[in-house]
Amino acid sequence: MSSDFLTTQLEASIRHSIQSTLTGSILPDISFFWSASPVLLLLLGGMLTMLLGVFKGNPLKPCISAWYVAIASAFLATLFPILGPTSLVTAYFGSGFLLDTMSKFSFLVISLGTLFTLFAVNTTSVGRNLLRAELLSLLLFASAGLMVMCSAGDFIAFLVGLEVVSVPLYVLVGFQRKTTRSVEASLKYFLMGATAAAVMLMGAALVYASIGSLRFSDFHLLSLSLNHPFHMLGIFLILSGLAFKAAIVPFHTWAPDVYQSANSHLTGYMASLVKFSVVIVLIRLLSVTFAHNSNSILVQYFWILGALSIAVGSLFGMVNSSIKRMLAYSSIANAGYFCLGFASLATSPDSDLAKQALISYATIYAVLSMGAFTVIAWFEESNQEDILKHQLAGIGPKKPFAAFALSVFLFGFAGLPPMAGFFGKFFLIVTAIRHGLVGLSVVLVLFSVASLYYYLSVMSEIWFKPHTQHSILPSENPETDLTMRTLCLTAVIVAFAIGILGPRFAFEMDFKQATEKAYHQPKSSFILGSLVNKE
Amino acid sequence: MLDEISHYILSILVFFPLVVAAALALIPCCSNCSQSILRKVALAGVFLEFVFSLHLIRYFRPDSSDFQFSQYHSWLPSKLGINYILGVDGLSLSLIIMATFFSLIGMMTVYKYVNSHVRSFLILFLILESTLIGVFSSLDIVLFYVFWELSLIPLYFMIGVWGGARRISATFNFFLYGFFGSVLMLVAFGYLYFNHYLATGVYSSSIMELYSTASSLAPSTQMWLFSAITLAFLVKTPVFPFYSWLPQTYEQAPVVYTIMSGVNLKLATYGLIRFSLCLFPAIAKEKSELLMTLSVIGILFGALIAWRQSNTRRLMAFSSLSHMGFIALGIFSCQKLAMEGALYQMLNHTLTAGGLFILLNFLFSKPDSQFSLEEYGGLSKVLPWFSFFFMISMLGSVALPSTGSFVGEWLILLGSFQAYPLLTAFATLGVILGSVYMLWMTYKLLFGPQKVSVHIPKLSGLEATQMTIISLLIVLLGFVSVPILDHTQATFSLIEKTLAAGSPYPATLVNLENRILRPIVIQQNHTFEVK
Repeated sequence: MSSDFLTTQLEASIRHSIQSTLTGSILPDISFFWSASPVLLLLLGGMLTMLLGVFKGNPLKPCISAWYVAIASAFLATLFPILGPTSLVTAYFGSGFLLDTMSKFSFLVISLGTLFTLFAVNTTSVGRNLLRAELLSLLLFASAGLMVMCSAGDFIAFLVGLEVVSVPLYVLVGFQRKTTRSVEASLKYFLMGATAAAVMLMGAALVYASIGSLRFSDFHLLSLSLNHPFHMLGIFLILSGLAFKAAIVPFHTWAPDVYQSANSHLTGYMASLVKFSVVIVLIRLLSVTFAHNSNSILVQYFWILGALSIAVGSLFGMVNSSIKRMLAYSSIANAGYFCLGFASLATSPDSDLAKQALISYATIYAVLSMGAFTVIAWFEESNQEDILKHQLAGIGPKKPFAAFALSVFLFGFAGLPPMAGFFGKFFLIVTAIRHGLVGLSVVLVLFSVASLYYYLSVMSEIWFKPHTQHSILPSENPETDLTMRTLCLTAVIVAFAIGILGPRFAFEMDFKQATEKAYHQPKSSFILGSLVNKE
Repeated sequence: MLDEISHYILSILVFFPLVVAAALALIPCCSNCSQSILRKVALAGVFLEFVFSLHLIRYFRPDSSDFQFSQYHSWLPSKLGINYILGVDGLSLSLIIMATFFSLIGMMTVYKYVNSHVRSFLILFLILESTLIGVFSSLDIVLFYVFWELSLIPLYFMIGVWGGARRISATFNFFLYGFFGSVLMLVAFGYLYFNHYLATGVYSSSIMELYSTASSLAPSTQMWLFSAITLAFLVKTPVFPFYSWLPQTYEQAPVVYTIMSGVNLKLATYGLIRFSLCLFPAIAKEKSELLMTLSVIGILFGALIAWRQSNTRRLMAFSSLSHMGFIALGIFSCQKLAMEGALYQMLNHTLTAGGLFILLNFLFSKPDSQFSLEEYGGLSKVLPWFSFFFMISMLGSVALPSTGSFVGEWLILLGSFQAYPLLTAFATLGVILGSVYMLWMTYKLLFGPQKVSVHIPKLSGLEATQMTIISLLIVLLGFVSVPILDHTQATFSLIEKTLAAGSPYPATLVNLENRILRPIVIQQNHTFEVK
């Protein structure tokens, strides 16, 4: 059957799409450059920083000029989402680049996150290792890739974005080749990430073979039942690849190692922005109703994965003495919390409440983990990769503000009001209950008691135990302290503001997806029909 | 002007301590002298708060069972229906006054006992006071939950930083137990919130609206929600099988927590009435026998264990378990008399336990104190005033006639006897056992053989002031119970009517306009969600 398709219809289909795209929009109009300016600016900045590195004598020394360029491009990238027209909803490159409220919001979050990371990188001693031109340029490329991912309405565009994110991250995770553990983590991340990408491609191939289109909006032609094994397998392979990026159990095994041995700023970047973007992609992917109302199998998929992630993340985090490893497990548990939202969205794909809950929790989680890892980087020495819990003993009275900020972020993860995490969790639970997932929300709250245990164990080290000889002695550098205080204060204020005023940004968001200009109707329906007939 | 004050008094009460806390955080501190400034500012703040709360007594209308001094402001985006709603009825009125009053007493103790990290302690104390009043006055489940969870955080840090030697495991126990109870309540609240949407098409988390939603649900659903919500409060009360965090917390807690503990435990009993009983009257009535049995077990168990304790802190913990059992018994009996008695007993238990703790803390004020009963003896000869105050608090605690507890326990037993005579008969045994361990402690400390080796300071002016006030109140409540019961009786009649009929609790938000209570106008611009 597929040979039939390859010989007869593929050629016609390709010819048709080339013709229509040429006449339609291979050269987008001028508004595209304004709308895509965040992506373009970051790419441009990435190339410029790379060039600046060429003129640098010693590549190992910090390249401040490159840092300025990176800051400038990240700053300019925030302008469009802030100043741009709010009601603009358009699609470019077919469905390759969707510009709607959701992508604009994610541009804002990603560029602000990048800006935050860049500022933090230049202040801490551990961050200055990252101040090399090529590493900064990779960071900018990764951010551009995240934006491409978030605005993709098409699997191909999404995959391009994903690879633009992943390849720089493999390098960034592994660039500190000081310990074997770091090399191990980076190799693990690379091998597993490459496998995940390959798996996802396989899934895409199956989907394409089934419906002749890779637009997310055409996925409604897929029917997820055992009568259509290729449809189901295709979607599940794609979802598993995404689950890998979000560190959902059982695709989580890379996370603890990578989180632990990567530079703390990068860990923060990965935990917050990559996870945020995966959530956005999944929102786009899951807001289609699959054919024959076959969404229920997806609900089961996310139910099981979510429960597993929550359990594994909450229980395994208890036994780790390394704080970054512990936070990796916390991020796995949080990936499980997101599954509540995914499962609700799968139940009713046009539910605004589920999207709002997901976006608000993704943003809140991004703020909290960015803040938490930044504080950890503040505590670290330049050649240190990790902090053990007992090394934090008695740090509270010595560095009150940093310790206070870390406490706010940890209580935020635990979901205690008035920190931001509370409303995130509350709306996820309400959404899940609304879509009939009471069981999963009970799993969430019960295991969140277990995860509270490890947050509290960090708290009691920080505040309640006396300073010992093993405790770290953070360097007293007034300049570092001032910048870090400002950064952490920003994150703390955002965390409190969302916690007290509620995640308004998500509830005022318009979830109308941009749709492609109608010059091309997928011919897939008859292909689908033929497949069904032959099977 | 008066109307304006009445409209905003609750917000003032909730946020004034936070304002004082912020001021404390900003006052520059250089030496010990400015620490005394901090203490004075905090004490003045708490005193003003108490004065403000007197406005509630002065202008409260005892004949109305509606929520007075109420406020309704939008909080989250309006289509979510999560609003900032505050209000006070006869139940919460007395508890709020008790909270502000005991914060004042507690703050006096802070004056003497807290010597390290004074600023942080004062700030935590003020945050705690604010959350206490927030819990007692919020009428929106989300707002309530925020304050309820938030009240854990200051206590957590108080115990962890200023507590005893094994304080860290105590903080884990305290926080995890409390969190475990309340997360299930969160799911139940989420379920109610969503079901209100199903029933009406509008989201709302105001308890006035949820009262009617809750009673329209299927009985089995109500059963689950009732269990989840009640569990949260039973853990924090504590009622019999969920008590194990209490002794450890009491033992390791700093001095000030022990005094405030009386108020903290009342958060849970308040929640039992406001949420468990009023949301699910039918189920509460149905399950009252089981819950009363647990309470009676708690009364007897607590009293028996307390008898065998040689550590005074643990003795007080089990005595609290026993006394809270009485309060829970009164609440679950669903009789008006017993519930009134329970509320009355809440006030009395706070007073007597607070008084005993002030005196015990004075006695065991050495940093490495083991709180052992064996440490002292024959104090009546050495410390006559101490012994005098101790006797009054102790007799208050064992419910001697002419003290407030007698009225409370009498009402509870009278009310619950109407519901379940046999259980109440067992509970009466608790009164006897309660006097056994209390008299035992008194004998060991005040009479017994004198242990002269220990040097004992005289009672200071601060403690004498605190104890004089408390002792006067203990006796006063024993004779003058009518004014308090008058303020609460309208509310409790309504609750009893609700419980008897199994119908939704009908109270509404009202406010004083030109000395007349009027329902407040709520601008609702709910946008209906299309889907």
